[in-house]
Amino acid sequence: MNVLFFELAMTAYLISAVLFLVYLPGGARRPSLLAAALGGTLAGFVFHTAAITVRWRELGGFPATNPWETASLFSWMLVVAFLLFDFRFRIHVLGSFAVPLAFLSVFAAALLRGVSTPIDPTLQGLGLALHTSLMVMGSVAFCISFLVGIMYVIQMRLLKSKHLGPLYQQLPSLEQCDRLIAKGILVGFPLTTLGLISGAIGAFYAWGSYWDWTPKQTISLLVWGFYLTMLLGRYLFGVRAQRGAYLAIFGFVAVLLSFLGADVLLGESQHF
Amino acid sequence: MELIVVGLSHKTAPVEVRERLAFAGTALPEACRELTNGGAVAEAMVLSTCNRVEVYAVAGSAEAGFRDISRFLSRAAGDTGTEHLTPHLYHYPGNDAVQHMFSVASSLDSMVLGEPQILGQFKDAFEAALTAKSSGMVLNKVAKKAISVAKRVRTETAIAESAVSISYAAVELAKKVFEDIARERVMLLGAGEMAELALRNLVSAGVKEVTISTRTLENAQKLATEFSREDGVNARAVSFDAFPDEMVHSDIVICSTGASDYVLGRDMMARTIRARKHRPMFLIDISVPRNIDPRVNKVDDVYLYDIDDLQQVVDSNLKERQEEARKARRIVDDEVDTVARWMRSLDVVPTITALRGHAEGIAQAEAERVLGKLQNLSDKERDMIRGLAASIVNKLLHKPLTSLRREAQENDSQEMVEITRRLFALTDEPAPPAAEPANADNDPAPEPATRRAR
Repeated sequence: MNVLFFELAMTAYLISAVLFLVYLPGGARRPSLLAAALGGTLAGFVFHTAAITVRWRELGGFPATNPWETASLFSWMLVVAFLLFDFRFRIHVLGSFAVPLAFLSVFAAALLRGVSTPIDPTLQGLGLALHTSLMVMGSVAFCISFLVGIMYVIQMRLLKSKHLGPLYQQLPSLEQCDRLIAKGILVGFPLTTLGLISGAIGAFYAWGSYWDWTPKQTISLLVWGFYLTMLLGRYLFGVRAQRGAYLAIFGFVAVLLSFLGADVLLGESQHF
Repeated sequence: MELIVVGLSHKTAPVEVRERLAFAGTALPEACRELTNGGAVAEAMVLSTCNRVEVYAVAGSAEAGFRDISRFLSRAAGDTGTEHLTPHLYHYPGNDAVQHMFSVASSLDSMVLGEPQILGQFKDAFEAALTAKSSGMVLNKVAKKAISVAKRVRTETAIAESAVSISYAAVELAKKVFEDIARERVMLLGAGEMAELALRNLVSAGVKEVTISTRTLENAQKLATEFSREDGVNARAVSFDAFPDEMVHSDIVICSTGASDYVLGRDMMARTIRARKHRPMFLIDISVPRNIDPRVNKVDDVYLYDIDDLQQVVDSNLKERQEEARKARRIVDDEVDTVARWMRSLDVVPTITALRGHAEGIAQAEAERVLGKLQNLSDKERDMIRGLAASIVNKLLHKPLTSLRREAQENDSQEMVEITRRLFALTDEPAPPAAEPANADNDPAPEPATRRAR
């Protein structure tokens, strides 16, 4: 049952992503295209929610027991974040970046489904659910900064090159991008901090040790340190604008690598 | 009845001719009244802008209408004959007139393609015609349609989207660097005319903090007082030596000094942006020769546009407008078709009225004849007999009238109308309907038949 919902969600995301990519260059004059794209995202969100709920009940526990479930959870939260963001800031063009990424993420989840690892019974419970959702929410916030960072870099290059185009019209101003990048990190950082703390507490109850310097833990801590430095750099030394945008891109790539590296390639069943 | 247009525009007449003819807004209703006061013109509307003077009219015959309007325009220009004005005038009848009206209202015929003022001027012209009661069923319908077509063009194409003047292009660019331009501080370096214009555009976009620096401090002070007084901005003057320090607090810099060399170099800019903690800056160099080293654009978070860059933006915007105009013309053509169909359906109205009148006349006469013979009927029964006659006529005529109307909308109805008239031996000029209110938009009353003018 959850597979059916999952596949429906994936299809809706794909359609929505394609519509958003068509919308990207000069779609401002085509409100119906935007409405269709947003409708696709919403439909995908509904199916996806159903898929996760069904999986949750089948499993009898929080559905983030293996990498593919985490990837699915990530894209679900990314879609939620995008919809809230769109409602709040009306920068629809973010959809042209966020929805394709959400699709790729569920698509990757579907591919990874085959290699799902068995559940470690010691890891069940509220603690894991809390830890995982905090970490995933933090990543989603960093992801929004990353996507807006890409928008910043494109807009910056257009302005520097002086060859403007339809894309230039669609993308928001540099200052607004810059502010949104900072906002994403300001939201993501405390979530990640709490996520790490809850993970350490969870580890203590599971294995009797707060911190073991496993590769995954080390990488997570490095990423956390990176974002802390970035925040301090922004407010103390003016690491913003262009450099801020590049760092936001780099930071999320690091988040992605830590997930791919530790969870998928090393096949660590440990955490999220 | 035919819609016609006679007029001249920047495309056909030099400004010396246009200025002689221009009507003041208050003179428009009177002009409309004069045009419809006898003669061939039944409905009239006068559009007068600095780039065009046109009369839209409905006339029994296009030729007579053209002649009357040309005479009227020549009189308005102060000529005794029409020979001076005629070489500058264009005349369009029928669909071409509708097409022209829609193009004008949609700003497809404007000097600056897509400029927004024309629609307002068109609305004023229509208002004047309504005031003068010189517009009737046809003109009301077509002019209203022109306004809605113009709105459709505005929303469905990007024809009026981007800036087509240099100083406005600078404002548009600034809006893509800064989120809210009203919060930004602007520095004016030197005081060329173009730079002042760019500053004025920024001020009307909401800028409130202005710093002015010129080589002679008095000039800067004079300009600052002027801006503070007239535009209500907080403008202050600083000496030219102090500008590098002041620039740290400025987000937008407009530069136009008379200097023959760069006054702003790469190193100074790099220092400034560091001091600003990398809050981006937008620099506009309008001076020739340039006053800002072009390599400044390579400094991170600094965006430098010189006069050629701005011109390039304007050129590409103009090109985009031309592309959008092609889309807009398709919309106009589309809408002209629907109006043409409506106009053609007007052609058969006299025939339909005549045929209906003819048939109803017979039915009524026959009913009364029979009623005359049947004396002892109740009122109800008499009404039933009258009703019977009327309903036979209605049912009998329903199909032929429907196909006549359809024919008129889809094809040239001339032949069908001829056949109908011959079949039923209808007189050539049916009596016009009793009342003909000149100013009711949806009044179905047909005009007296002069369809042969077509």
